[in-house]
Amino acid sequence: MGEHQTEPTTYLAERAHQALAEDPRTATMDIRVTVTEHTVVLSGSVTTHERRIAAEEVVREALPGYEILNRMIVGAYPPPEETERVS
Amino acid sequence: MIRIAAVGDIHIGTDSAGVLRQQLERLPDQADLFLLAGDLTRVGDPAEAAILADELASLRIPVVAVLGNHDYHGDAVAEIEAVLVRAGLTVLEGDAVTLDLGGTRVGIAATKGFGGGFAGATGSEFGEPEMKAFIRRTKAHAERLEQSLSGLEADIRIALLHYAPIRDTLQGEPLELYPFLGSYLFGEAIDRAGADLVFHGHAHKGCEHGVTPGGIQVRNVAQPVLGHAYGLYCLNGDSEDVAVAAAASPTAMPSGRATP
Repeated sequence: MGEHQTEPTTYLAERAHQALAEDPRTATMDIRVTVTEHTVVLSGSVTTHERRIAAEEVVREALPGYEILNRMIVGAYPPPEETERVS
Repeated sequence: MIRIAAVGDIHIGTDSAGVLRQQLERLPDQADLFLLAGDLTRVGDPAEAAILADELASLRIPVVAVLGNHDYHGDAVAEIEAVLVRAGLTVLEGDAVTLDLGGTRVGIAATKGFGGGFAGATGSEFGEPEMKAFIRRTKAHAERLEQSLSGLEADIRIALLHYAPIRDTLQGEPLELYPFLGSYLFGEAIDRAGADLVFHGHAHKGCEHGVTPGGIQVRNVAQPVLGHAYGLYCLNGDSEDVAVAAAASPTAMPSGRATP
């Protein structure tokens, strides 16, 4: 059960967002965080497995006691197939 | 014809070795020039820049970069620039470069840029010292961009930024974030100086296509926006088609370096 469950989930989610943005292990604002009564869900995509694991660690430290569901996917962007003719 | 590849917000970390190299395998056959629109690193660590340099080592085309806010985080901008320059990149901030790509002169003027907001919802140089310093910094970057872009003598002129110069390419971002994503002052500077194409990054949830109020095409090439490793753009120059860019010879403009 979360230690901060009496706090509005808006504050909890933002605490996790700020931790993800400011912690050098993650330094990203691209991860979606959803907080419910006992659970934090992380979703979005990252480019390496290390970043997926780091995001979970950072949020676990920011919101101790919550179950973390890590639904982030790992993937690299493919090269483009098409060229845009601008002028 | 000039073929330009561009991307921003690649956020190379110490865990990224090999990722970008694989993504860029086809790039030398697709483009004559590669532009990097800032946030090259994750936390502004020179070790991250060294990994980027390794990833770009096999590219046979000119690479021109501007840094982004993440690249400033570690207070090691000079070291990051040095690593990239040693690897053969041209790193610009408040200045410009002209490349001769097979007889077509391609000029690139660049600045990281900064925030402040867009017409109708902008910050002002008024009130607390911190607020005045914020907007003053944006104005200084915009003035340098206008000067360096105006000074380019080239067949094709490109403006390269990290922060957004228009609000069009922010569509998809929360409105509350707009003042932190760019400033109309850069669009105004570009419209005054003139350009053929503008690239920026920073707005990961924005959209790719936009136009300045003066009618200049703008592309948000943040990698999450593109959904690809980089974007490819084709521009007509004044000369015949360019077949090989490997012999491109960069010529630095004599403009000075602005304080970031």
